[in-house]
Amino acid sequence: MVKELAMRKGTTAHPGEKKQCRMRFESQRFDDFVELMKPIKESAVQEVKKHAQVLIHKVQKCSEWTVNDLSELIQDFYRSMKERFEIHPIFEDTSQEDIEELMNFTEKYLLTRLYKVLFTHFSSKYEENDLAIQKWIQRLGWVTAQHLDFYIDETLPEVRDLIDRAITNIIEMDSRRASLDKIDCIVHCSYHILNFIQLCQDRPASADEFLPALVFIVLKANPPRLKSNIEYITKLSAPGRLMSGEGSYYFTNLCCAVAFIEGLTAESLNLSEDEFDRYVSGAALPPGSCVQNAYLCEGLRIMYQNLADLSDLQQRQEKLQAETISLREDIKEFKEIIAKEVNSTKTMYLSQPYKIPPIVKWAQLASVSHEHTLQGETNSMYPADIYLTKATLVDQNTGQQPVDNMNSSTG
Amino acid sequence: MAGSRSHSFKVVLLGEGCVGKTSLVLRYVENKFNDKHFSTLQASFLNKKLNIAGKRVSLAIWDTAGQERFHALGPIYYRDSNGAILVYDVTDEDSFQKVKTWVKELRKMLGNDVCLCIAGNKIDLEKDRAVSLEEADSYATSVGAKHFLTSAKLNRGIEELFVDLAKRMIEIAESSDEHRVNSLGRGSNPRRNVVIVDDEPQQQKTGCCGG
Repeated sequence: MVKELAMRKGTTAHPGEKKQCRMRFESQRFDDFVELMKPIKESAVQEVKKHAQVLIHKVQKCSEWTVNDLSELIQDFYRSMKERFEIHPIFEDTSQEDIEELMNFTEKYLLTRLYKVLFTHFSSKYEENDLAIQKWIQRLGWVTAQHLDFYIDETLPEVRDLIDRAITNIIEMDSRRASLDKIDCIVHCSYHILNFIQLCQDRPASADEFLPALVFIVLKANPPRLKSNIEYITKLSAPGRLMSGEGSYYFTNLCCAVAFIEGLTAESLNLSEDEFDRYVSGAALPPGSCVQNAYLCEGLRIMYQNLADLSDLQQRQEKLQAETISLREDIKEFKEIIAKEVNSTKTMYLSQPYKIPPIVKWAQLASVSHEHTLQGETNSMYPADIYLTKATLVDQNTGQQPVDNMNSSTG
Repeated sequence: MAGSRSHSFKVVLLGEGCVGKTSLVLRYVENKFNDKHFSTLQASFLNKKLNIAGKRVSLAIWDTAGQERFHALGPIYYRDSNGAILVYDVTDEDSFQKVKTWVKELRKMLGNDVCLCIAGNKIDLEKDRAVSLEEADSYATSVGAKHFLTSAKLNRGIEELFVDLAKRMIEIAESSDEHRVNSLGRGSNPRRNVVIVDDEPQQQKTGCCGG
């Protein structure tokens, strides 16, 4: 009883441990086995959280650590967690994919919780680099796709749309916390770039087109705190993340693009020193830059967007109109068809002969009345029908033969 | 563990702009050449899974920008790669010279752990050949690389090239690290093989479980 009370007290005090206790004390029950088999993760997740908590407290307490200390500490933590995932009994039967998921979770949990502390360190260490590259990119606003030797058709609304999205994604990177999420932004940005390259040429994009285009996007976007973010991803990503997979490829390309921009010279843009200096200092603008930037400038872009919206509206309006007309015709046609149907049904039913249902019990009706009726209807009846009717009448009326009628119809 | 027989390798693709490295890799991964119906939008990063002698191998093929202006960025690209395919155009002597520069750089940066394949592409244009087979062969042998003649158009030599590369990468991976890292099916990375155990969380853990 005391034990139970203590347990209950414990669970309310530490909701994080609740699951742990339940797993430990009640896992004999059948329900729990089912639960255990399904999410082996739940216990694992708690396990990760618990360990991360220790590290989080440790990091939050110390403010004198350098970026490298922090990076080492966190990388050590990843390593020890990974080892734990591989050898600890809790994680037994965990597949390789699940271990990867757990690593992702570890990283995400840790970095999201510690983001403010960690990123402050990074952004203060790399503040100058951030500002330097930001200013440098500002001065390179005139660089066009032609300078970078790749072809882009900015007049296509889809291409402009994709450029916008790529720019948005790369800027968004700064607002994400875990390096995994930051890399996701880079990957999405890259997809948009590859998409617009494919729109401008009709074969799959290769690195020869991708890297210049990424440089172009970075120049146009001028993402905030670029260097800090890159260092943050490099130093705090879970081991292996930057070594394999798509994310690492695109991240590496971003690093390349940034390195290229930092070391940008007249030669790398195929310009003379003199030209380059004049463009960078803002004394002159290269030919074509106006046109290209015009397509990317806010006012014109809105105008183009509006034009596109208007033409879209017009198309929809026309479609609506056409559909209205066709609907009207359909209604008219339907009306006619119905009228025709009604008419034909009417004539059909009105002209159809009256037939005596075969199940009628003749014996119950006065024979005179039949004969009157039959006489009235004979004109529209086939002789054979009449004959049959008569035959039936003969049977039913016990041998009484209506000879007159027979003669009148056949004759 | 199921993953013990699987490897994943990073392979960089180097070559000048017009040597056809994109066609080469697209032919390998999609078995198509100049097709309007590639299922992929891009040929910059491709994955290919193979099975070599019962070992599952996953190749991540990294295309690199071949333009001269991006040459200095090479090291960022080929860091941690297990293999490299250097493509030149058999009709273009310059592209072969470029291969030589890359080989030097790769050997300098990655040492002998990186497997090199030199691919003389476009052998369908045999009549315009500018680089002799003997020269390329002897050069390749001298730098510890393998030389292949390929044609993305005719689908020649490409499968062989990748299979050979994969085999050599497996050998290196298996001989250089018999550590646990390899048994996880991850790419080998000697730099991070050092295992530092963080004592504190370990202690914490045992305390919790035992209690």
